[in-house]
Amino acid sequence: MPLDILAQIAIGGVLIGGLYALFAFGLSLIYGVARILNFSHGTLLAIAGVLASILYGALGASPLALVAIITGLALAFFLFGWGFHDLLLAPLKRRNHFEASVGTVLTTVGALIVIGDVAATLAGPRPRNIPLRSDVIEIGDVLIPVSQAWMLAGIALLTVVLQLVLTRSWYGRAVRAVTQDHVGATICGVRSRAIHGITFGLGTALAAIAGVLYAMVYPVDPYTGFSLTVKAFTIIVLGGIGNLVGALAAGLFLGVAEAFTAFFWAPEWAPALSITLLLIILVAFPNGFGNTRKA
Amino acid sequence: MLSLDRIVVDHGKMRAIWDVSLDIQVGEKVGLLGANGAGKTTTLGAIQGLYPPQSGAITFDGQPIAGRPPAENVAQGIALVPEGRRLFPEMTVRENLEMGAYLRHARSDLRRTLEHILELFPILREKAGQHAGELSGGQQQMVAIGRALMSKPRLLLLDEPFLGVAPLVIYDVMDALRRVAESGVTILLVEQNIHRALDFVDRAYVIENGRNAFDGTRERLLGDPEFGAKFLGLD
Ligand SMILES: Nc1ncnc2c1ncn2[C@@H]1O[C@H](COP(=O)(O)OP(=O)(O)O)[C@@H](O)[C@H]1O
Ligand SMILES: [Mg+2]
Repeated sequence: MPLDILAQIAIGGVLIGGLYALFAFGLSLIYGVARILNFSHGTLLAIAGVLASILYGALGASPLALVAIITGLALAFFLFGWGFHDLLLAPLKRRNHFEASVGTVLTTVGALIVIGDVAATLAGPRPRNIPLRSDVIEIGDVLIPVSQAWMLAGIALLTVVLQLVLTRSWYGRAVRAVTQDHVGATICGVRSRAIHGITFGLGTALAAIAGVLYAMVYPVDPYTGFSLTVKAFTIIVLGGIGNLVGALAAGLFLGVAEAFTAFFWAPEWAPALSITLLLIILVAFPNGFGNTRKA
Repeated sequence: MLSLDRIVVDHGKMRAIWDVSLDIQVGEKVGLLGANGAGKTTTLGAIQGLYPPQSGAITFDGQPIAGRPPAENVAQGIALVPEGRRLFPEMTVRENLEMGAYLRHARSDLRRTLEHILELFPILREKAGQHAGELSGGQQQMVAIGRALMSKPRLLLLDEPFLGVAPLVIYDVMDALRRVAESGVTILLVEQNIHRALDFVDRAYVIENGRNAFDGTRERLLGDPEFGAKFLGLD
């Protein structure tokens, strides 16, 4: 096996893994703060990808259009996520535990189905992507498509920004505090309703940005989403709730493992990998290993 | 400064507080005592806004505050050191303390308040960069007290602050709390250890099964044969 081909596969795996990580971190933020498992998270990514593809064509296929699309979709999805939480999910919390849990699953799974169908009706069910120019960058014998390099730049930038927000801003610290002990956060003066809504919005915006980056490299259709949600669950179980570094490590691991599975075995098996991994982790590591420091 | 008038508090369908009243003046050190399950934690939670009462009045600085959100109460000068400390285990000691100054009124003075707290608990200066989850019980309790003080409270509610603290360290913590009280902060201390509590406070309320049972100064309580029989194991 020539080394450059292995490197090529690894780079592809790292890229998609970094994207999984960002996307999963959105889910992780939402779960950590609001304790809601958002089953529609992957579908939102797919819809953002489809929308980005349509807008890219309509806005004249320039890099500037791409920046505008990312910004616009991030903002729109932020507001959508915030509204979705405050209008449909927050009222469920006043019900008893059983009704609240089942209601939350029904609402997010329902959103997945409805959003997917509406998008498929309006935009058609066919896969779409963002057709960037197909230039490549050569590093030695390894070829990296420009689209992938952009994706990498996007992921790196977003990771740095997220890390800064989480450690340096009052909002970010409140997010970590609520995730680690919500009662402790409440008595510090953190208002839970507001922070739940904003964080649901932020997580949704991350899914949207990931969706645009994803569509730059892979085709998406409105029904792509659920397998991505499963991957995100795997990553947050592996990497720990609310843990950005953990999510990155787990995402990269999953991405590279999938890339090699697809190459050495068959692409059809790559999606099964995350489910298998998730089950193995849940059965073999009942205490997880993302939160070993938890007091 | 604070008064509770016949409050009733439920946890879901279970009634925890049936009828509790108390009155605290500015600058006092008051105890809230009683057996496990008597309703001490629930009473503090009602004051802070975590458990809105079903009925009865809570008044702070002459304002009715029953059912007011916790953030509002923190902003008005009430801070809670909760049962079980409730720290953020994977944040550093410094970050934990700074979270206490989350609300706008406390942010502007953050550096000075922090410095003041590190003087109160010098060991925390060495531990400032460590995760709170890695500290000993006593050190965690110091962080919990420090975090509450970061909001610059006028009324400090303490829920069993000596639980899980090594005996020698208890004196340090108590000493620090005396200095906090001397600086003008009013204190309501929940304790199960009656002797230790009466050592610290000026007077105390004793509750039983969610109702007032006894109250009075240390001398009065210690001189009351019924109180002695029930809580000090005297006959
Ligand atoms: N979150 C809760 N949910 C249901 N019941 C509770 C809860 N917290 C306390 N209780 C019940 O309320 C009563 C008073 O508890 P608590 O206020 O914790 O007493 P104390 O602090 O004096 O030990 C107890 O019977 C306890 O079991
Ligand atoms: Mg208690």
